Amino acid sequence: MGRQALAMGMQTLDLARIHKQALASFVTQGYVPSARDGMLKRAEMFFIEAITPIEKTHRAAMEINVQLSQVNQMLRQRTEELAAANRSLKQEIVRRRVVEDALKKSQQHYSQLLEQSRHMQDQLRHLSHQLLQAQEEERKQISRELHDQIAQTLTGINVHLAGLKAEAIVNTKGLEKKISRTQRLVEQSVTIVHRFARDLRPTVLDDLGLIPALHSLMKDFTKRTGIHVRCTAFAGVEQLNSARRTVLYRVAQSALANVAQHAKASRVKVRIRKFEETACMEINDNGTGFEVERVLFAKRHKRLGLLGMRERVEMVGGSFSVESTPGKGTTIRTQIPLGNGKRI
Amino acid sequence: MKRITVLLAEDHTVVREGLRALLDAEGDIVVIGEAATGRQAVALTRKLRPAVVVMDLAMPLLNGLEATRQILKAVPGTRVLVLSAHGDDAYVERVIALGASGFLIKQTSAHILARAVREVESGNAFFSPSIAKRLHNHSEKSPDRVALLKRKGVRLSSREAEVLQLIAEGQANKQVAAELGISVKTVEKHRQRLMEKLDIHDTAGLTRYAIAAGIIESSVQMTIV
Repeated sequence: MGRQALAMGMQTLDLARIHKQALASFVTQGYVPSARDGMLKRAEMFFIEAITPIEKTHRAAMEINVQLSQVNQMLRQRTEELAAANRSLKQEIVRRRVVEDALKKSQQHYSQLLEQSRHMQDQLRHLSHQLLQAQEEERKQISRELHDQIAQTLTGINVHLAGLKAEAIVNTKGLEKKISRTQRLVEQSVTIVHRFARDLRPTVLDDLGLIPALHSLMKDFTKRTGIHVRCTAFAGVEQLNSARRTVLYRVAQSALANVAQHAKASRVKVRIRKFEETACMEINDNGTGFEVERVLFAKRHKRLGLLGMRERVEMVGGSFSVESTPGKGTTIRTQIPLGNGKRI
Repeated sequence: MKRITVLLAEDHTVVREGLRALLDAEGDIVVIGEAATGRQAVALTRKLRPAVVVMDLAMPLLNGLEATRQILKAVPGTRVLVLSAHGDDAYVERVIALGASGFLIKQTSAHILARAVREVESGNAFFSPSIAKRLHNHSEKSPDRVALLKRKGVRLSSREAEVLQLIAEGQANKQVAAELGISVKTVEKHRQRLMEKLDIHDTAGLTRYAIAAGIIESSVQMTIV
């Protein structure tokens, strides 16, 4: 009956009313008290049993309700969390985009800077090339002027003095002496000028070739320092073009100047040999040696010669290296292609 | 009187005029032409056939070396007397190899120019004194060391002078001993005394001294392959 009632959509209270009505009608029928108690008991039992399914269902429904509302609550929470997550994701995306843009911009900037720096490096190299070339040209010019203008004028003066002297013999002995003294002064000046001009740029290098020029250079070196030089060279080195011959000469000049000034050596060996299609020059001394790295990158460039040497050699397509150990001497190696000289 | 005909080849005007004046003052010499470039020198020599060409090495448009070569080939009877500001061995050797008859250092030989012309015209060779000395030393084995040193105010015994020369040439004590036929100890003693007398205390110093004194020539052991 309880189920029926449930199916009919009745609630507990409705059923309780029905029960009460039914009970009231029964009880007023004039039953005997003991029968009446039994009937009440049975009615109670019937009621409880009729109620129970409803209660059960109701409780179940209530529990389901509670669960539902709990689930609902959870859902609401979850939805809120999701919304929050979504918001922060959107923010993150925006932020990332900003960062990406900044990165792209800085990358562009960086590659621009790199391009600029490469360009400047090229310019620097080009300038240094021009500078060394200009220096060589200037030296040639100064040497020529020293020789042509000054030395020649001095020589001319001496020649005229000679003529005067011939005349003076007729006149006074004293004049002749004075003229002789003047002539000697002039001779000294000319010698100094020539040595200077030759140090700047030796004509032997252009007129007679690299080997005679080096020979002169080395003889002069021994005369000034007392250090003996031994030299081996291959004749074919003369086929180098003028610029390359000049570079080898300059390297040898610088190297010997360094030995004279710093090395405290007793022997120098110069070797020029043909190696594949290059002229390979090695200058070795048995002096005190030095720390290559420290000197090459020294702030005050006491041995600017070394850096200049490397620059000149690389300018004509060659390679340059210095090996030195303090206490064990120094070797300077230069390799220059023999080629046509078209590559600058 | 037969005068020696001379062609002057010199591009620097002041020098050329000076040389001309010098030679004109000599009774037996006459300047018959002047050239200012190597090419002119060759052409004028061909045309005028002088007895002697006085040629500067450093001229424009065909330098003196090349002009010398061409002249000696074209006009074999002419003598060439070379003038140069450089007395470099390399040039001297080259000039001699070409067949020139003499080499004068411009700035120091104004007073011997006429004599040089005469010598060269009569078939002899003639060089500036300093060059002549160097050539002489190359061929001679032992210059008079003791005399050279005395001139410098230093008194070394003959043996000491020998040792000095060998050391300055780069030889070690052992080699010096072997060459002179004495013991290494003796060489060391001589070296000691040398250094004391000269007040020089390392080998490089001895070498420099020997070169400056003219006992040895500054030389390079040169091997061409």
